[in-house]
Amino acid sequence: MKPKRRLSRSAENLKKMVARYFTEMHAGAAQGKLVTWIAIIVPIELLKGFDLVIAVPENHAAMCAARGAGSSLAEKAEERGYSTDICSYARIDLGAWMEGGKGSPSMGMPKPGLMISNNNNCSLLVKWFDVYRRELGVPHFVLDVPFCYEEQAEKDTQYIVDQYGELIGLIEEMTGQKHDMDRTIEAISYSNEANRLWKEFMDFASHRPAGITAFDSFVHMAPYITSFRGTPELVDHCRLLAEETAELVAARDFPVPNERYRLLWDNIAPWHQLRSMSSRLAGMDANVIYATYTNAIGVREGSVDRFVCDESDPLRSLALIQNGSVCPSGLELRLKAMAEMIERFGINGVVFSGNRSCKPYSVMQLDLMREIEKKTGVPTVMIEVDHADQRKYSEEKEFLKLAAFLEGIDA
Amino acid sequence: MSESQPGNSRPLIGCFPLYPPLELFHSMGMDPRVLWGLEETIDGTDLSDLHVQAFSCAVARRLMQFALGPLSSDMAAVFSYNACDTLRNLPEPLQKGMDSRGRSLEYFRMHLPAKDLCAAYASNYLKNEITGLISSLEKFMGRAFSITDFRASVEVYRRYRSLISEAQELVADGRMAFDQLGGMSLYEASTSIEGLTATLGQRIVAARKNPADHSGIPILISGISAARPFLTPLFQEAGLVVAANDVAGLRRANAYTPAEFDSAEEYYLDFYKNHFPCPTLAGLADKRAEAILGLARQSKARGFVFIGEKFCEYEYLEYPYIEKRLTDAGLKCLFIELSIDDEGAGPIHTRVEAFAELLKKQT
Repeated sequence: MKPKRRLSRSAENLKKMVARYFTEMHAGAAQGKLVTWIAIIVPIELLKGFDLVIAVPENHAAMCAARGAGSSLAEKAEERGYSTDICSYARIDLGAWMEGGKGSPSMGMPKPGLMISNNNNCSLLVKWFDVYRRELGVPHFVLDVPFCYEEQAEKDTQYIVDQYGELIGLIEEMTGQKHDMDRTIEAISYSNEANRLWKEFMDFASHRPAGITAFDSFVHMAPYITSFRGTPELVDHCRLLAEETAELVAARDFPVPNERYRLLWDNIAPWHQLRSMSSRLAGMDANVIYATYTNAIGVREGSVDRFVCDESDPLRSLALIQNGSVCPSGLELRLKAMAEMIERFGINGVVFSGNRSCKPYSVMQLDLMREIEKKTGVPTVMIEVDHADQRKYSEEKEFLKLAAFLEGIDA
Repeated sequence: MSESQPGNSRPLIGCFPLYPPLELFHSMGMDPRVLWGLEETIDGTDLSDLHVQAFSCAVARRLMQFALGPLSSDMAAVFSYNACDTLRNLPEPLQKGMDSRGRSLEYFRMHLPAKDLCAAYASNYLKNEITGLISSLEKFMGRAFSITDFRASVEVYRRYRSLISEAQELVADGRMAFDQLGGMSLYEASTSIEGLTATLGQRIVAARKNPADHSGIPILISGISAARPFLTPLFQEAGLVVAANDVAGLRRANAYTPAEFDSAEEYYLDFYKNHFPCPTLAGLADKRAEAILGLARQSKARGFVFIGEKFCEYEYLEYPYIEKRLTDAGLKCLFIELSIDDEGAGPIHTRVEAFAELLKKQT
């Protein structure tokens, strides 16, 4: 008998949201709205002050990878001269575009009229979007966010705010629309509430056994990185997620009932392995209960607690969260946040996923491993998983490491 | 790291990535060395492997190996600014490595705007970064910044850059071997700017005596660390001459020195705004293809050899476009990839020869 699906109502809602995101994207483009491709961390709340179609290439690539189309689309880009050493998100997205959307579960994304990248998660993204800029001849706005080794400095906050002003001016000029700050504030308000509920959901990791797996959070973060951010629909989804998880915990329905290993995951989700990795780990009584990746929603750099944006100072608030997504922050900040996660959620092992497609997340992990062990005494392991290119992952090899690691925790 | 230069008591500052404000460090009484490439200096990556994964580029791995090893024992400080994602992440692992070896260094950082520096807020941001850096250097060195000293240091680098320019012409003229130039890159961590300038000057004097030789097929080479000595004989044997280069440590680093300025802040605004394009300088992205095409036209190059550094996603994401533009302009292109784990002349030799044959058939 097929096992009952956990979080079934949330999963059903998510499915509808993702379908709606892509459908509305294509419909909006057909209506002649300005299609704006953005990097994940570009503040959508700011863009909600306009009537735009928002599309997120990283999300599109992750979705292709999760549905098994990643490698074949990446090959299309490789055939056109893009090295296999380039980030797999970029190769997948470029491949889908070169094929006119063929092979993509969403039939790709409509042609952009504007692209907004940022270099906080990775500066490679700027180069990736530049490929489209040259090919399509559309403007590409780069949001330059200084990397922070310590808490974001005031000079950097102001620098980001200045760029928001420039971006607003550019979109006003392109669309003839006047930016509506009230709508941006409203979007920030929805994001604040969605973040609160997201944290409520994530906090079920502290239950023993944990009420969630990080894999649940990987799946359900999807609407955050689409045009649903800053909307009541996202608030409703996060509420449903938190409520349904609470019901399952109350009913003592846990993802890994015999949980012995409470693991923390560090890196982007292994999109092509979500189900198989979580199932196989569960079979070993191991649960990846929390992830730095999905902790990053609604927090500032180096923190586990959510950051509440000040609706009376919207642009500054949106600038302050630009370094929150792990990659734009340094080792000491990452260490601080991870140590807090380990303590708060009773983590007894950390899985570092070395990800050749994401240098900004991965380079410094070897030092982080040592620092985590020194600071917390919790053991760590490094496995290698490309976030979207299945060809660069060897399940048996990595599970050998994981099995040995779990034995080490027992010892 | 130090050279045997009498009276050289200036504190050494290792800098990365490609285009740090060297003149400023020099004017503050320091001896700046760019930690880049280091192919001829570093053998093995055992120290680096403790901090940097094998899927990082050779530049990062060699840099870390060099910094943590005995060759940098007299390095007093490290400076870094943002360019690619890998190098952006290195300062703290480097510091951890130094700390674990009981080495105490001073660390300086700067953010170079990845924006068009014509925008007032971006240019002001850069100028403020330079002001902040000056202030940190003053504290470290215990001396005040002097515009007179800065101007003098600019002239030191201007002199070096003009020699590089002349040497590039001599190479194109067949009077100087390309490896004579490659070894003179600013990225020779073992040599001060004064040492580089003196050696380069001597080589130029010698090369001027050689007769011009235009028998080779002119090519343009490009890459972030493409001036490897082992490539020169391969090109020579195949009948190719490096008529121009878009090599990070050569043309890109040395093509431009601002002429007039009232302050270090103005100097660096001009320096970065008008720098020769490089994939790491985001604000100049639009100018890169044209700059390379201009070099090809000027040098009458018939072939383009791109020497890629494995895992350098920056160059690799731009290469298909650059290749298309050059192909459209009638140039044949050859892509060679170098990897720290698999570097040797053997397979490359065959490809260079085949490429040369292709160019000869065009004649």
